[in-house]
Amino acid sequence: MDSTKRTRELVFDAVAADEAMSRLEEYDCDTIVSLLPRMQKLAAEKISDQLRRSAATEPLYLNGMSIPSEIMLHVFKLLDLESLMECRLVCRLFHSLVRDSRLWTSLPRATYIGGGRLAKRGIDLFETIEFVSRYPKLRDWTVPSGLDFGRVPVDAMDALALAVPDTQRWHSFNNQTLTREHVARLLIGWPYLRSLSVVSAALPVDLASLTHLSVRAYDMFDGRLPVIQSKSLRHLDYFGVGIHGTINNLLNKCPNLETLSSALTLDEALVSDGLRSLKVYFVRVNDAISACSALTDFEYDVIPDDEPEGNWSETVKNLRGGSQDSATEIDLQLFPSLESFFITDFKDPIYSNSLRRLDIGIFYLPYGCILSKLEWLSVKDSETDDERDTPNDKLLLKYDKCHWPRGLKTLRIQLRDKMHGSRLCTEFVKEVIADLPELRELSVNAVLDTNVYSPVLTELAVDGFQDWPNIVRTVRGSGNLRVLKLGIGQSKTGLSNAFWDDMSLSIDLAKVKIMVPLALRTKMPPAFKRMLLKGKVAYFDRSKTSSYGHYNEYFLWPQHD
Amino acid sequence: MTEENTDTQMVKLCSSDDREFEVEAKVAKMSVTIRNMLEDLGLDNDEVPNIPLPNVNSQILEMVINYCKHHKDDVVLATDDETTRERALEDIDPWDQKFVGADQGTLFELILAANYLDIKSLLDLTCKTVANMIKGKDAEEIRKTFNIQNDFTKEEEEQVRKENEWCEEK
Repeated sequence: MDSTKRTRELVFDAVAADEAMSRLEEYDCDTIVSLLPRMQKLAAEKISDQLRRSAATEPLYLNGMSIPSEIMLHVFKLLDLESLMECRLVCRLFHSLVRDSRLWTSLPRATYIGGGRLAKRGIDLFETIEFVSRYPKLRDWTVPSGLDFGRVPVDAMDALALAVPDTQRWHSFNNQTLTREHVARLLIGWPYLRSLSVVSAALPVDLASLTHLSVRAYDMFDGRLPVIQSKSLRHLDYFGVGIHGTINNLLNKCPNLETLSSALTLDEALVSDGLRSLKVYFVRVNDAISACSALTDFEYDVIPDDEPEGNWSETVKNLRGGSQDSATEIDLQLFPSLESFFITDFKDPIYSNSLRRLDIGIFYLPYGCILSKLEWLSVKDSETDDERDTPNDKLLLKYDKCHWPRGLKTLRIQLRDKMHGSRLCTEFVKEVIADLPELRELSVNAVLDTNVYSPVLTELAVDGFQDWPNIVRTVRGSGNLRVLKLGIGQSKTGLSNAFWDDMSLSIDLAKVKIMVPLALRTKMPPAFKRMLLKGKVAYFDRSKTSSYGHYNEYFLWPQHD
Repeated sequence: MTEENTDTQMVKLCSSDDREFEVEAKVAKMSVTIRNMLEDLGLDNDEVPNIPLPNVNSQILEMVINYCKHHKDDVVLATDDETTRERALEDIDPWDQKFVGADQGTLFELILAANYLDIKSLLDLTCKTVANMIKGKDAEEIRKTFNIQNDFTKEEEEQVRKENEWCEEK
């Protein structure tokens, strides 16, 4: 009886399986197979139910100290979703505490995607309210895409507002049936709402006390942003083809606007004392931003061939250049306060006496750049470089031509995948270290096959080493090293227990912190975890980005995990 | 009596093991519990009020007083935006970091004291420290950190794991 055996395997609650089994003989194989999913579900529900009922009431002991549940709830409130999920697995009491929907201020994404409660087609307002009202602390949520507001009377929005009264951020990009009357009604019911995302057709006339607004046009080529007026608005994202009136007019009507992010074309010279951050698609006018006295962050996509002349900006510190190939390059000397510059591709030399950080999508700096203050550089060995198919043995030749300034303190190099693990990568890293006497932090996505020495490096991030004795030698030979980050590449050669046990004996770990990517968490052996608990080694999160998303703060290892 | 006077006046705090600490009212009043008690007592210039704190021992009370002294002039930001707090999980002031850097036993006693004395900033700081001890660890590591027994049956653990897979943002 094959199918019976399968049933036993699939139904993981043994008792439920036995019960089901006693009745199975009445059915033929096909019926049994068709019943399996239901039986699995029943068994799962039974266990969930059992867990719910056993919601522990006994006091919680942490290292022998009795801790009131309310305090643990306070701690859980501070945690991210992923950590909360892990806490559910710790013990019954944690499980029941995390289960407490009073904790949740935003909904897990799974509620919106396939199978999720809010992802249902044809979900109605009543069902939505019934679901979200279980989360009385909900502050940040997204409207179900399948909810047809065409069938919802405007008055009924009061009930929705009442169900989650503390809503602070509400997203409704994904629902095109929503009207501005519906949204206006919600704004009345939600005194704490600060951030709203809507399609432009649902943008209410009165923005109440919103500080953040994102508006997306239904269709990029249809519909302009209506005139908006608000004293409270500080951040506006607009994805659409144009606006009614001019951008200056918008800035006048929203006098406290600090951030404007858009795909707009700049064909007027802006005047503003409040604007701090501006993103536009096209710049078509002279002196476009020179009269924005507080502007520190500026991002553009395209500057046309007949580059605007005149002044750029005295105040801009962070500049982000086009994601597209812009034919003309911007003269950085027209940004005397510039500190950081991000650009994917450029060919002519650049000059700046203030620039400290440069993030580029290519490997070479053009010959003749003058960047006297540059200390932070991120480069990529990309397909757009001249020698598209540089074989590994050309890496050193490429390096000879890269013109990186010698005063660099931080250098991040992203090599192409096929370059990993070669002996030449190691040679290359050694040369880089030898050539840059000021270098303190080096990150390169290569697996090194020997050790490297540096008397000055304080942080070294590599994809890995071929074997662990080379890690030990590297740490011992680099007297100032404080942080050593090992990437995914290390997992091929040394994540065994023996590796970490040997490591703890061989290296003075009080001095050097060894870190591995969070993505390897489930693969780390007990010896690593023992050291983790003692604080000797740690995880790093490579997807972590900086607060102002200008730099590639994440580590540049290939995503092959 | 003006607010000014009540703040410079001294109060006596008495720990569970009968040690007395004399502190400025301004410092003591960072505890909402003590502030309420003082208000209930009604202050008189001549006498130094004596507040019994039977739930806090002298070692912890001394630490709490040090904390309050260090933070007595802090500007309390009137923000109820919990997101800012969440984002600031790693962002702990170096003095505070050192302050809570002691062993877990002391940390938990501080939490209990902060909870009892109702000192919001100290409760936030200590809870943040515990949250940081949890963050990035897997369930087994968390159990080891706090010496918690796994009391799930195998089937239950499997089920929670399944629910987690369903919830994870992937």
